[in-house]
Amino acid sequence: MVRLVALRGIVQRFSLVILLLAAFGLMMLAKVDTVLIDTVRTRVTDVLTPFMELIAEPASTIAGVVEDAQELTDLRAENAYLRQENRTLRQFQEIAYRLEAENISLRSLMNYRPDRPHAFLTARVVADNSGAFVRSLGLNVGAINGVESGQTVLGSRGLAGRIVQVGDRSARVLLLTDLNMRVPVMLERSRERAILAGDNTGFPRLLYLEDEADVAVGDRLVTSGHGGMYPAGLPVGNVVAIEDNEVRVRPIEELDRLELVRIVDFDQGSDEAQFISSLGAVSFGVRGAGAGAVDGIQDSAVAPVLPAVPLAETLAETPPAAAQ
Amino acid sequence: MSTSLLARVDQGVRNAVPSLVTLLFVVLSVVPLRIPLFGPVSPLLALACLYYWGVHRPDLMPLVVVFLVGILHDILIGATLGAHAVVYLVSYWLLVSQRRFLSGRNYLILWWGFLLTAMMAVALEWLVFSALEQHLMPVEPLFFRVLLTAALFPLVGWIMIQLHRFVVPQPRLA
Repeated sequence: MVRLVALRGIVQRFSLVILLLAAFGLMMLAKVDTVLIDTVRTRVTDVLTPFMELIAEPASTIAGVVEDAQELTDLRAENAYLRQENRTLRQFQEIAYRLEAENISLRSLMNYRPDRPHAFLTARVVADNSGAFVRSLGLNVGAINGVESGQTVLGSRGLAGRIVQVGDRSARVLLLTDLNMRVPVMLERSRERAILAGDNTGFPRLLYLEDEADVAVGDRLVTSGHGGMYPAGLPVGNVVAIEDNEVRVRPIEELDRLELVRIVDFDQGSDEAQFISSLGAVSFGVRGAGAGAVDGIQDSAVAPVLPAVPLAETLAETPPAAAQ
Repeated sequence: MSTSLLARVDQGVRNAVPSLVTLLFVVLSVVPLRIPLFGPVSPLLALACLYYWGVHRPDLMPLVVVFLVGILHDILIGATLGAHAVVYLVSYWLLVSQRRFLSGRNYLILWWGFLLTAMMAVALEWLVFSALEQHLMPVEPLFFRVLLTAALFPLVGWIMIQLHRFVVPQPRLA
């Protein structure tokens, strides 16, 4: 009996060592063979995503109710603020109209070739993994919706991150604040270039900014488009602090409150028609969520970019029309 | 014969409850709550489950399950596979080795024990991730992570007590 207990003790101690070795082995393997590990990871995420979607829904409803209650209390102040903001925005609108007209006329003078329209895909955030060590989000769309690794992810105001892992029905977004995130950016005012580097805090740093660079607190940052990973001109954030050669940036998106994100296919060479044709299915899925804000975001995202007739259809119809 | 088989299946299902619930809590811990600044301080819910079963019924929480809980955690948050497995395995092993000081004690002592366990686990987490990324991770959010994890222990503990009643075999009618 005593021997049996002793044996069991040894086995138990052994199992700890074996499992610890397995864990360390996995970490090593992840450094060497990322393909295998990624396959396992995406398979598991794929299986769990519908389940997490199911839990995320009531959780966001509860969060919404709490938010509504908070908003009710300061309705008056918010109303006044919004009126003020509306007045300012109207002025901006006037300026924008004027600039757009000017742009159109200048472009026609210069024979400028405009950027191709981009395809959008709206996705729901079903997992928030933005812990102290990793900053990423799980989405409820995947390869069957046309999502690809490397695509840009936007919130309602600007850049949020980049797709780094794609399963059949799930995808992972690496946020701007993650330690492994690097984005080539430009200061909008002074056109100084730098790299925005996340370090797992809420405020990423600017790297490789020149010593005598013209930078001030409040400066807006946009993507510079260098390296081709991100298109130029996407709003990224504002400079919040400059201390002994360290410039900190507040992302323009509230990365911890994202509910819906837009995945944008800026890749010129990709099969745009296929990406857009999958858009219908997904927007239906999001609409099914029933949130009022969803329709608003979709309209603003898709309407200005896509023509009234879905691009996929026009593309499909083009060859016969050309033949006639 | 058939009743004993049935009873065994019944008990088997009951015995699997702690493992399944702990895995479920890992999934719950990544549900987006959209609370500003919550992410970095989000509590380690699964650790509270591991602690409860480690103190009361370590026989129902084999090390393999602890390992799987860690792997699932890593998969869900997109961390290097195995990082949380190490954190949970070491924490759990230390906990079980200190079990005789905790088992059968009153609630406050259990809570205190959990606070220490959480501190140790989060410190270990910090070490593992700093080593993996070869970069010192921010420390400030971790204090709040420990506090929040410890603060949620009564809630998780209460759920576990209810489940514990389910796991213990019911007296059968003759």
